[in-house]
Amino acid sequence: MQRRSIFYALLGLAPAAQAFQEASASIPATAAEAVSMGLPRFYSQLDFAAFAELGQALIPAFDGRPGAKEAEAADFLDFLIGQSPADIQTLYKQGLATYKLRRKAGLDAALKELNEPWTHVGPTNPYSKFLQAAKQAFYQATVNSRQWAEAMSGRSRSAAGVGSYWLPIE
Amino acid sequence: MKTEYDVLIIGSGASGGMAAHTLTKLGAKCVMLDAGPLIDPDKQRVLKSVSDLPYRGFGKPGRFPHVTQASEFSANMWADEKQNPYTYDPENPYYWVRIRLVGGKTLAWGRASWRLSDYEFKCKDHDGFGENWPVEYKDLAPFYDRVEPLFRVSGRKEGFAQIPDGNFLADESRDSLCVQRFLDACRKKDVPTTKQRRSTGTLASSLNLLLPAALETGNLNLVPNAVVREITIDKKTGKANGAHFVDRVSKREFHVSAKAVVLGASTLESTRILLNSNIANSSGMLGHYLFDQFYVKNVVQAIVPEARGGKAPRNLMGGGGYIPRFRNLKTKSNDFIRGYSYDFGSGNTPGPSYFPAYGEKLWQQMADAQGTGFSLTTMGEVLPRYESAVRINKLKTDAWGIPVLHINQKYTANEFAMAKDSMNTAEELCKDAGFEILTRHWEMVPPGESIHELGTCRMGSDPRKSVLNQWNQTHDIKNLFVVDGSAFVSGGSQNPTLTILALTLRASEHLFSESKKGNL
Repeated sequence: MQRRSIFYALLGLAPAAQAFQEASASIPATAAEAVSMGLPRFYSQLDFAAFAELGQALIPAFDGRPGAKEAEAADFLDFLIGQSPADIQTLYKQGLATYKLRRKAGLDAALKELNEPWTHVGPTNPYSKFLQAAKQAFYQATVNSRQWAEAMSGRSRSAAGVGSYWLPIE
Repeated sequence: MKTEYDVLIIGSGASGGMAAHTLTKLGAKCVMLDAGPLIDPDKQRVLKSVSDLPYRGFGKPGRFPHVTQASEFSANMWADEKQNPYTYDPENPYYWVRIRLVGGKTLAWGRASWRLSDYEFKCKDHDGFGENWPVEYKDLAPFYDRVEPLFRVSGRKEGFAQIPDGNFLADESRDSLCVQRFLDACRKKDVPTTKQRRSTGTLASSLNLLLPAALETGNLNLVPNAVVREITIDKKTGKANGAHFVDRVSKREFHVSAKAVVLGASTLESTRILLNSNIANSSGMLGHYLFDQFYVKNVVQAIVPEARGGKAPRNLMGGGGYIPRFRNLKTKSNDFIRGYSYDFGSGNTPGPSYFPAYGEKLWQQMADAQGTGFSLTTMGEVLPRYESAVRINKLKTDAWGIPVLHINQKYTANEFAMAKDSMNTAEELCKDAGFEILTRHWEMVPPGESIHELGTCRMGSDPRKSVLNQWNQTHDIKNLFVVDGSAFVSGGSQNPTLTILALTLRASEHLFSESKKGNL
């Protein structure tokens, strides 16, 4: 008997719950699911279309990898931002409004701040902040998606994106 | 609880676990209280894909505003900030990172296992700032010698005075070519380097290395879910005689009695318990001289150019190492006292935010840089200052009605100068090694984030300037010992856990021996 087994035997403890108890069922996987669950959308329908277009421009499909569109990243982020603190919501609300205005002059004009060298402190201009945040968020929502995992599983034997998850303690 | 134990141990992490391991083997009947539940890490964790997590790895928004270490994978491990609040001045945020489970933070520590040296123990003799410890390196060396095999520390013996050698599992691993280039660049500038020194094994925790042996003696009663409200004092003798605690789940109040008390609840929790108990503070120093180690994460992010485009030859990339303190040892800097160290590593892929691009151009740049990264993180010594302090905030209580801490710590000119120096030095070393600098910065993480909080219940020879003597025994109450990081007088830039373990081993043996002599 291994030492740790002895430890738990001495304490007479039952093993921790095996079942995954977290209330993941209450969290929608898609925007449609969120709507059906009665959760409010963060962006209006018009704004959401612009947000999804932005995501596709930032993180397009490339070399067999899904992009933000294929990963339904905008749907997920709309749900995430809707649950986020007020300062994040303001950043995304105002940032998208500016993006829509700037977009009229073309995509390059709307996104030119993203060509500036990165600094650790980050930009002070709220619109630049929004663009940097959106770029990072769309990237993460894409590479962490099921669509990405399925597409990449055929390209590599490594278990990318798999981690050791702590079950709820109680 | 009517039983009177020989020793009450509060906390089950590195210090509490080491105290239990030592005292129970010597024959002392011990009871251990821990604020959290007992879990089996093997059963508590499952492999999951990030795409199956409810928030795709982002984590639930706002759940952990001060725990940057909490990923969505590990979120359930960290102490809930709503149940366990604390306060600070909004202008000086403090990130207090806690785990409330049996085993404490040893369930998740980085395992870096460095010894302190007389550059720390005799720091005032060296540069005139602060106070010396009441112990020297030679006092603690035999205890480090015994702790290292328990935690199976691997490393390489180098003969550096600032990080004394120990009982290591020899690390004979070969360095990759890019690391060799970096080591050459360091050598040319007289910057010392070595392998990491780390505790090994799949789990290197109090939970599997210390507590099982203590329980096997039959001398330990482990009580999980026991949130300590205060240590109690016998009014006739003035000695500690136990503790009041609250059952975490039922919120019922209990008392446990013991002939001696060992407090190892973690740096700030131990001081909070003492302050709430209103004891051990005749010096007025309890709560003062809070410090930690500042981190500058990825102070330099570089790229090894030969690895671009997936063209890295075999053995070019991978691996890393450690640069111990090299400033202000034999020479003196004009800009700051004390020093800093670095962790460095290679083979990472810089994230998308590092690249000034979007769309296909971003993908191309990231693909070109895949696996080419070389980065360093600075860990700097923070000076203990009287004004860096904690106190009880009587206006706020935790979920069990216990008053919380108000924490005040901010970094000062010495730390800022050190951080800048570390950025410039890292950049020079990377350039000398032929690496491209992608970014550099010297912005420190907020105080507390390194999870190396130390001080507030410091040791000292003078009872007017310190709370504990050279045996981690309170000056005021001789049967009360405090054995965690709160006892530190200075901290260097080395990770503190190994020193906490060695101090606890030494203090516990002293407690037992003095107890047998009837001196407590």
